[in-house]
Amino acid sequence: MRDISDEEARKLTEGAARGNRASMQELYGLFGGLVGGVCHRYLSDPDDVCDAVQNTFVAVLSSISRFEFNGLASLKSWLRRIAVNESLKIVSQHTRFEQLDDNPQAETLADEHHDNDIDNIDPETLLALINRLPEGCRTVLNLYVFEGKSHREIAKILNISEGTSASQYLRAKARLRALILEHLNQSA
Amino acid sequence: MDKWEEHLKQKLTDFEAAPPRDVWSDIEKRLPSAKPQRRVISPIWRYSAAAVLALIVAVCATLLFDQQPIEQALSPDISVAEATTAAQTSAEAPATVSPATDTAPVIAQAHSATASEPATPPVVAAKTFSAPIAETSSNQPMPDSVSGQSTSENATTSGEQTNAAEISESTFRSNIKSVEETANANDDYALPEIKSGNGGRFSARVYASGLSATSSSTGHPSVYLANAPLQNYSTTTGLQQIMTQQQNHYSKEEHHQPITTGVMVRYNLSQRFAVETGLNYSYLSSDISEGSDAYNTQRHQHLHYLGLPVNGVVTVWENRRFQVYGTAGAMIQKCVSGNADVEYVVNGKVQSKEREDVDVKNIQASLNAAIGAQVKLGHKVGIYVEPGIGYYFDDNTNVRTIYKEHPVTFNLNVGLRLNFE
Repeated sequence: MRDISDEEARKLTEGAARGNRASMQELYGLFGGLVGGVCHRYLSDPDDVCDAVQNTFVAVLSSISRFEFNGLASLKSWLRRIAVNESLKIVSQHTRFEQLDDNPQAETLADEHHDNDIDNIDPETLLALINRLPEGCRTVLNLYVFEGKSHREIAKILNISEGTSASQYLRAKARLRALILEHLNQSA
Repeated sequence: MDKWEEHLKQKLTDFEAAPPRDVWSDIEKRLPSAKPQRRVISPIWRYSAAAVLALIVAVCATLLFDQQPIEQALSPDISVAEATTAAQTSAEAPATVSPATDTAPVIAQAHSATASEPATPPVVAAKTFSAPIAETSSNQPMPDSVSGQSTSENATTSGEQTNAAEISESTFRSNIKSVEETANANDDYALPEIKSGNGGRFSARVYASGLSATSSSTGHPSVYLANAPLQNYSTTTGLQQIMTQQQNHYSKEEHHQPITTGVMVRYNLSQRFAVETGLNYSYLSSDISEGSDAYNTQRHQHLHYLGLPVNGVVTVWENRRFQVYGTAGAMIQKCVSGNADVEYVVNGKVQSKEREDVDVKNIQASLNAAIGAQVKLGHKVGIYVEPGIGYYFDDNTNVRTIYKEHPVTFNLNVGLRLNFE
């Protein structure tokens, strides 16, 4: 997204709050990528991503008149929160979280020097790899790493036990590292 | 978080990924209309209002000959229907006309909604409709009122507001277009909280009256379309609980406000008197429960009635701008279709559910009387308020309906009238 100033963001927000369609469309153009980035992490199916992005903007633009603008950063984080919520709604339509088991398989974690693997991967590929994780543990990974939720909070959000959250996270982490390694080895 | 997690987060947190296809047009379709409406309308009402709107448009197209006023007259019709089809949240309320009813602000809202400028004049502004029509007046000439109105708006017999602003015809054309778009758009937008069958349903009643200047002694038929009369006695307290001491047996009935929609035709016998008749459809839904706490039946009943009303109308007072009248009449209704979903509760648990047909064999008869006040918005258009009373006779069946519980009802009709020759 092109850089915009706080002031410009405020004007767009106020315009959208007044029902100005051009402002709304501009907001979509500016922040569609940001929202899409969030939704792509949670949802692997392209149609789901489209739905989630759509639902996010509908929710945002419908309630933007009640949003108190407090800077571009606050606008972005509001958008992200709604994007996460809408993504979770769709995820919960096809993943029964209560059926996730909390026995971590014996996936070995890679050693230290692989910590930099991520630097050698471009974001698009990384996203694609994340999408290959099973949806349940992928969701936990997203909430833990990107949304900064604790396992206790994740447990509440997904209605699972804290233990399940922790073990699902470990599984996702191990899986993802393995996928990254595999990808790097293939392209090497 | 460890380093790996940090790296992961940094890599993707601000990563932008546009959705696979551009979804803006899908988003736009689901957005609320530009000016949020104040009133939230339940889905059933929206569909019936949309059906009535289609009927209005069809009737107008075939029966109205005078093109110029039609287009101007059509927009408030569509606006009214749009106001009722729009299911929106809060909004500011501009000034309203004197009938202090709910429809007037809604109509005013509708005008605001459809005009492109935020500051839209209230409904009274529609008086500009009458300006171009020089040859006829929209009143029946009354002995003490001005007849043969001219384009000069200052010639009035009673104090009238002249603070309305002009609305240009091109604005109306664009209003019609945008209203149609938003009307379609609003059908997709779902309000999750609204459950049908609860609370006060609101009506926009549209009809065309036969009042026209040329009709001095010869009557002209007129058509009006009636929608749900607002029953003003509180439905929320239409709940009746009869607790009997023995065995904690109770029966509870909750009857929801009927929704009525219909068509009326009015025939003017003279300057003062008219008769009208028509056909209407009413939907009655009720929730009835009976039994004890552990053993009871829950019955959700839906009845569909067709009604044939006949009224006499007396015009009490009239001038160029206003009309006050009284109506009285009778109506017979017949239930043409009915069903009930019945749940049988045994030992506190729902044991079975059945759907049964409800056949109401007898005719429902009622009497009604009302007083109405109409503000004329031009030669072809008027809005009115009609508070009234109805008495519903016992139909001598065992079917429980709202009419059995509340034989005497107070209702409030508000609507729009179209005149045509």
